[in-house]
Amino acid sequence: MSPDLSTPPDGADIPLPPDAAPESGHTGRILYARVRPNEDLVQTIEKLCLQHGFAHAVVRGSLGSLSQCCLELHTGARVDVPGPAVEMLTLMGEVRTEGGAPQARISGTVADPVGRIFAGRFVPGRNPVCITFEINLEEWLVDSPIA
Amino acid sequence: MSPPGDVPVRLLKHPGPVAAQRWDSMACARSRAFRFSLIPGRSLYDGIVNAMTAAGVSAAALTLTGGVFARVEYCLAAPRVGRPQVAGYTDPESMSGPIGLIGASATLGLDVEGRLMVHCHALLADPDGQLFGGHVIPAASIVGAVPPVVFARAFEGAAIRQRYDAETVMSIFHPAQPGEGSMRTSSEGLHVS
Repeated sequence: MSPDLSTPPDGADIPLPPDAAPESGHTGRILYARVRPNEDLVQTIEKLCLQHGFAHAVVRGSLGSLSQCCLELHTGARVDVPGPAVEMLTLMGEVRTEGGAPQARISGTVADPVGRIFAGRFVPGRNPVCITFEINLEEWLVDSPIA
Repeated sequence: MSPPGDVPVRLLKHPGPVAAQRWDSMACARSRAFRFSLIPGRSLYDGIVNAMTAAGVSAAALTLTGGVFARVEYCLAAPRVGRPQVAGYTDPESMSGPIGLIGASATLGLDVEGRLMVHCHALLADPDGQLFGGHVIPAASIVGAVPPVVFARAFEGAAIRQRYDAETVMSIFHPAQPGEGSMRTSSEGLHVS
């Protein structure tokens, strides 16, 4: 029996990619950083990868506060959350280097100063650290492609 | 919801001198990984410290998932009248359970006195399923019947230290500086060099 592959709502018959093997890799170094105020959360994660030579990374348990927060929703709409401070509650994502500089794509949940909860993807350049941010990255090392 | 660029990004002026170096970081080539459960009826602090002490770990980055708390004390961060910081912890809110843990991140390190300290931010759900969260107070947050699961990545030695930060006028976790000293030996006989 063929697996139940989800299809777009218009029912279009999407062909499976010919080379469907997933990327194979393993965890390398672990990084811990304390980021000081006014630095951008997303860009600092990218700079940390440049500094330490991480081409790819997984964002692990990271916590701290933002002066203000800008989230992009799945629709592309943006939500600006005023602070200070906006507390980071959960954070997940990855850093990828695809023929250039590392690019961080991270999403999560935050609480504003009166406790309202917001979620989305953190927009680069629009999420300045308030008091501190502790960042934890795991290097992702891609194995040589199978010949 | 606002169109892109509608809200300007404003930096904040903190009370102290601005450090020239904007982040401290360390990368560790060999890191041990651990999985454990918190202890029903005991605090978040006790559960993390019990497991990490048994493994001889005093510095770790932790991810928490699932489980229930019987009670949670937590703070948010907001401007406080009469205090120098741009934002300080609000008075603790106490929530009674059962409280679901949706997800949390935590850091284990040594405080300014050399004792084990846990810094934790969590996303939680109240008995009606409403989301809330913030800076959880580890010693005052008590695990319920179903303990959260913790994944930890450990750093060698006393790699994470709380230090006074002149810029923000707060004591904050940082990667340890060379010669910052080792952990204070506790009455339980924990030794971490």
